[in-house]
Formats: sequence, structure tokens, C-alpha cells
Amino acid sequence: MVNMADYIKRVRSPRLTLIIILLFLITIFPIFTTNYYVLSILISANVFAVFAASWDMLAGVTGQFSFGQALFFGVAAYMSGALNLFLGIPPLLTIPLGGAFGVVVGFLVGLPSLRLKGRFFTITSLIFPGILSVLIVEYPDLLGGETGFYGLAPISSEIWITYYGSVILMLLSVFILTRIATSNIGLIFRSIRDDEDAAEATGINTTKYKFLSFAISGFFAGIAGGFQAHLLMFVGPYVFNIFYSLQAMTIAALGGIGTIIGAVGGSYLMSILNELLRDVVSFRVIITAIILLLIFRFLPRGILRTITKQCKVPLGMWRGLKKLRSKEDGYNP
Amino acid sequence: MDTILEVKNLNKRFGGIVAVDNFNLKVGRGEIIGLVGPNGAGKTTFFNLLTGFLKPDSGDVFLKGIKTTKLKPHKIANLGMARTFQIVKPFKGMLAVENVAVACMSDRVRTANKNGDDVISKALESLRRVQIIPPAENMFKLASELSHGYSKRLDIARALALEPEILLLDEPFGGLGLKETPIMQSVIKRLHKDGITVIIIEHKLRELGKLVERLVVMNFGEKIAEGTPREISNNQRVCEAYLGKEGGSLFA
Amino acid sequence: MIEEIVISSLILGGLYSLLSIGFSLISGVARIMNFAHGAFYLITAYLIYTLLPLGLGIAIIISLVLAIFLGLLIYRVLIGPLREKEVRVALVTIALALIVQETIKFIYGPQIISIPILISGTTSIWGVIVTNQKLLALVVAIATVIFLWILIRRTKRGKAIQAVAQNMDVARLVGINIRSTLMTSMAISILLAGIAAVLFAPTWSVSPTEWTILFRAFPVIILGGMGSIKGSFAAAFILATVEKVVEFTWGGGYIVEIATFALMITVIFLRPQGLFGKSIR
Repeated sequence: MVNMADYIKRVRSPRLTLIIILLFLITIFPIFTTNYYVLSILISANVFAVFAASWDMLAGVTGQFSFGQALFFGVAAYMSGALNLFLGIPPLLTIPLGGAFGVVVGFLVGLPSLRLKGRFFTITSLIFPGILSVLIVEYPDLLGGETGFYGLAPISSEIWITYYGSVILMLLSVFILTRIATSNIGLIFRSIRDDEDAAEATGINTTKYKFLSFAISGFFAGIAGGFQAHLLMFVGPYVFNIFYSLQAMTIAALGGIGTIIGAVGGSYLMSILNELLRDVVSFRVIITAIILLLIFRFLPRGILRTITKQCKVPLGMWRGLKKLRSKEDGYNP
Repeated sequence: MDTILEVKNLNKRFGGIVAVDNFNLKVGRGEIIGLVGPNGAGKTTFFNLLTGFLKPDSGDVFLKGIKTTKLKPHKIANLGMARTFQIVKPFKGMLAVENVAVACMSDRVRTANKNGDDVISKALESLRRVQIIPPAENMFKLASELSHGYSKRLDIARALALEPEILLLDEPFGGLGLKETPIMQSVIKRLHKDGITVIIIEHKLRELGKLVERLVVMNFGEKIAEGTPREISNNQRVCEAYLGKEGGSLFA
Repeated sequence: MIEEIVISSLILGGLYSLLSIGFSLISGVARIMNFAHGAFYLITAYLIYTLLPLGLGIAIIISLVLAIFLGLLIYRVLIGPLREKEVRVALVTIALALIVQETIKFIYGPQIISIPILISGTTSIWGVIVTNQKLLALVVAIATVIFLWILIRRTKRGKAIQAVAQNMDVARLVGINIRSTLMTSMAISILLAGIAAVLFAPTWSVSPTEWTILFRAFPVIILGGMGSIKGSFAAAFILATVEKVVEFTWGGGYIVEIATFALMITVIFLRPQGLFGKSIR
């Protein structure tokens, strides 16, 4: 038995207080430590949170399990880098432009998804980044080849400014993505995820919305890529490595596929895990792999979802539900 | 009578199997028709052809005079022909009310809704019409948590929310028990009274007989008989198709 | 030059056909994507490498058996329980492949190893000098596929496999033991990967990242259509020929990959079900 008013309250951000506390912590953090190393870990965590959230929107919300998220990331990274290095455009602009390139790539990747279902699409999405990587390695004159190109402008010379930059990036991105996921569009996306044919039968132009999802996902993966490029001040074919795609997936899965916000928690968790085992650098891959394996084998809904399910708190998805104003709604007149 | 749906010489084969064989049908606005036939007769395939999930090899479908033969399913749905599925296809990860609300996102409902009736009340209205609410809790149930009877009606609620002019129901009574069957009966009767044209595929001939004015019988893809339930039950060919040459009464 | 192209295409096609059929088989029957398929190629190769002191022949046999055993275990524990949840299985198997990669890297180091050839010497065909190993590989590969074809078509088990691939529910209804059919398919799939390793790994390089050789077979699968042995077989040789033609005409490296990719994209848009596949939409 669900009390209506109770439910409505829960659909509104139940974790508002928690979020405010977190925000506060995040903001004052640099005061306590200007330790470069710690801050750079957090910065990275923020960037990957955005990256993972972008995949979550595409896969978790819309059900398009693309294995090539690194493609959006990589293309944007290269484009941002190129715009900066060759045209002198500052990072503040190249990053959103990187996002724009991500959108374009999103459309391109979205195209085969229309012709292919399920398995075939997954396989194809896997190969896409690989091809680009090969192209770049073989065309050293154009884009730096295997060594990539260096000398990109940093986000800022001060680490704490970069830190705040990453925080803003993360908060803004997650906010927008969440707004989309809880909107009418998000509702449509989820219907496509749950049953594409039924969605069609319900009058939804699934093609249009799938493209939209790819575009959105591409954009946010793109700005993450652009930010990363300027963070490391270097771009190379490594950005297309399947490992990046897998990281995005693992992080999203850790937090809960389809929740968007889970990507943030997942990213921080991953960072902590990586740091605990930082002594043996090569463990990063195997740790990610083991986590990925365990989660998808045993806990596919991710940690966040499993916990909230235990507490029976519905992660209220659709904002439209808030329109249930009073007890009168739904009761037999 | 105003013809809302017209099917002309529809044909569909799958390899060597003829699923729909030179099918012709005229449906008048406001009619409630039953489509029956033994298993494998091609009934669901027919629905798929009508709603754009399959393309016919030849022949045409006209909805309100518009040729819908090669259109995509969502376009046909937006023109006013909605359907349910033989095996329910709910949006499993979404709440019941969300399931229905998706229909309100369609172009059809969006354009008809210029005065901004909010989506939620439309969705609730649809859920009321199929008697899923009251009790109000049901709207918050995940579609995957609903019992079979509710599930079947949720499918209908979702199709209803499109505000269709013609509704195709694929075995709405399938798997329903003693308690749920009369509810479904009253839901469908009500829909018909509201002016919606209904075509029902069903095996439970008794239930169907109570609802429909006209029956169309299919076997091996072709129409073998058409008429009132009484006429059909006396039709020799139909009895043979169902019961073999010994006959018997279909609507006993 | 044509002779060279033909011969090298055939040999490459042999490798591709083993890999793609292995992947296609379990994919069609269990409706999953086993991205760790290439890992079994890798495992077999490294096992042979490790067991060499026992003699090549024995090493090969034990390695194949161990690989199959390991694979079935993995299937039981990690993949089987997920039923047909393709995405989960895909991710689990990719993770698995990475784990295998890293474990091997940890034990053996990242360098390239080589496993010995089965038969030495060279032969001259149409004026082209080919190593006997490669010839043997081609012959055995084709023989294996033919043998598999007969197995699937003529034997009871094979027919069970076909049935399950076509419609699992109906197969269950007519009394086919689904579990054992799935296991058999998995075993055959791994065996194919293992045989590919035995035959072709000696002529190739083997390193911990070699499981990605599977990805080279993906265009074959797209081209041939999933779940179709005939399709994969034909597509394997077609693709191999395309690759070799491009390689010999314009030089190797990236242009080959681009050509392959272009071909794949074309097939995707013109005929998404591949040359022989049934419509997968």
C-alpha cells in the first residue's frame, strides 16, 4: 500500500539534503588540501563521471548498449586538441566544440543502430573506435600518429581552478542529463529501452528518439573528452582504446544503470579503488574487469539500485508524476 | 456506413507458407468485429500487416481512406489505429501510469491536446477506463509487478491513451480467469459504446459471441466466412475448420 | 601475384572461418555474444607453450582438453545463468577476456611468444612458396568445418543444436535436453578456437592481447550473417580475399582495415542480415 502523498514526496528529490551536504563538501574541499595529486584524482573522477553518465543515458535510459563510447570521447578530444593547438582557440571554447563534434559522431554511430538490432549493433559499435584509431596511427602527418600531439593549453595553471572547473562540468552535466532523463523525453527513451516495438505501436517515432539519444550521449561524452584532452594537455590514439568504453560502462554499472546520478558515485568509487591499489599500476585493468564481471554477473542493477530497492525507495523517474497534486487524483470520483 | 478500415487483396507469405491469402475486409466506423480462426490461421499476422509491423507482399490497407500499407507503425498509430499484443508487451521498467503516459507523448495526442490538458490526468483517465484504478495504488505498480489480468488491461489502456478511432485487440481474454473475464467484457463493451471501432482476435468464442456484431473467420490465411455469430455457428465450413467433420456447436 | 593473393586469401580464410564459425555457433544457439571466444584461442596457445616439455603432440591434446574444460566451467558459472541477456553476457565475457589477458600478462609477461609449428618445410604451389604449416592449417581448417557441417546436419546431437538455435522453446517441448545441447555447442565452439590456435598461432605472433583476434572475425560475421555456418564459411573467404587483394594492390596496414570496414558498413546498410543470415530485425 503506497500512500499517495508519501510517494509524491519521494519523487521530488528525496536526497536533497544529502546533495546539499555533498555540494558543500565538494566546494570547500580544496581549502583542506592543495595536494596536487589528490585534486587531480578528483578532477579525473569528475570527468569520468560525465563520461559514464553519457553512456548511461544512451544505454541505461534508452537501451542502446553501445560499446563504442570511447569514439565520442576520442573524436572530441582530438578535435578540441586540434582546435586549440592549430587554431589557438582557448579550452573554454574547444570543450563545448568538442561536444558538438561528439553530437556529429553520435549521429554517425546512430545510423547503423537503425539497421542492426542487438548483437550486430554491439559488435559494430565495438569496431568503430578501433578503425579510427588505426586511421590516426597511419596518418601521422595529420593528427600526430601514434604519439599523438602535445602542447595543448591546460584548463588553468592553477590546480584548484581546474578542480572547480571539473566540478562545474560534472554538476552541470549530471544536472542536465538528469533533467532529460526525468522529462517526457526520458519517458520516451525508457519506453524504447523496455520495448521498442511497443513504443512504435504507441505512436513513438523510435528512430527520431534514438538519434536524439545518440546525439545527447555524444555531446556529453564529447565535452568529457575535450576536458580530458586539456587536462592531460595531450591527445593520442589511446583515447579510442576499448578500455575507456569499458570504464564508462563499469562506472555506470557500479552506480546503477539508468540512474545517471549513479555514474557520479560509481566514478568516485572507482577512483578510490584504483588508488587503494595504485602500487601495482597494471592492476587497473584487471580490477575494472573483475568489477565489471562481478557486477554484470551478480548485480546488474548496480549498487545504487540494489540499495534503494532494499529500502523500497523508488528512484522516481518521471517528473510528470509530480503533477499528482492531491489525494483526489486517482480515486474513483 | 462510414468505412473506417478497408483491406484489399492483402497477401503475405513466409517462404513456402502463405500466412495471409488474398484477404479482403471492410470495417464500418463504430462496428465491433471478431476475427477468429484456428491457431496458425494468420490472424496475428494480419494485425501485424495492418499496423505496419509487417509489409505485405501485395495488397493495400486503407485507414479512413488513407493508404497505410507501407507506413511505419508509429505513423499508423498516430493516424488513429492502435493495437494490443497477443503476449502483453508492457514497458516493464516503468510504472503503470508511466506506461500509459508514453502514449500521451505521441504526435497524435500532442496535437490534439493544444489546450494543455495535463498528461497525468489523461493517463489516469485511461487507467480508469480499463478499471485498473481504483484502487489508486495500481498506478504506481511497476508494469512487471502487475498480475496477468491487469497486464492485459494495461496494454489496452496504453492503446486507449492514443485516443484511437479503431482499436485492434489481440486475444484480450487470453489467460484470464473467472473473475477477470467479466471485467474485460465490460471494459470492451464500454469502449464500443464510446464510439471506438474494435476488431478482436479471440479464441474464447463464447466471450466473443457476447460482444461482437459480426464475425470474420480465417483459416490458412484466407477468409472462409463472414457474418453474425449465429450465421457463423451454423456455417459448415467453419465448423469443419474448428471441430473437424463431426461438427458440433461453436458457441455452446 | 594472383597466385600469391589466392593462396594467402585461402589461408587467412581458413583462420577466419574457424574463428567466425566458433563465435557464430554459440551465438546462434545460446543467443549470446561470447567476447571471450578469442580468449580461448589465447589460452590454448599459452597452454601449449607451457606444456611443451611434454612433447608437442601431448601438449596440444592436453591444452585442448583443458581449454574446453575451463570454458565449460566458465559457461556454467558465469554465462549460463544469465540465459539470453545478451548485453550482460557480452560485458561479462569482455571482462573475462581482459582478465585472461592480464592474468597471462602477469604470468608470462607481455612479450610475444611463439609456439612451434607442426610441420616444417615449404612447398611450391603455382610458383608460390608456402610454408607447409600454413598449408596444413588450411587443409585441417577446411576439414574441420566440413566435419562440423556433417556433425550438425547428420547426427542427432547436431540436429538438436539446430533445433535449439531455431526455437529453444519448441526444442524443449519436443524433449531436447537444452542444457546438454548448450554445453555441447560451447564445447565445439571452444574446440574450434583451440584448433585455430594450434594451426595458426605458430605462424602468427601470440601475446596477451591476442584475444582481440576475434575482432578481426567480426566483419566476417556481419557479412555472413549470424548463426549460419555456410554464411560464415563463405564470408570468411570472401573477406580474406578482399583483404589480401587490397593488401597486395595498395600495401598493407590501415588501408586493409578501412576496406574491411567500408565493406562492413555497406553490408550493414544494404543487407543487414548478411549474405546468408535470416532477417535479424
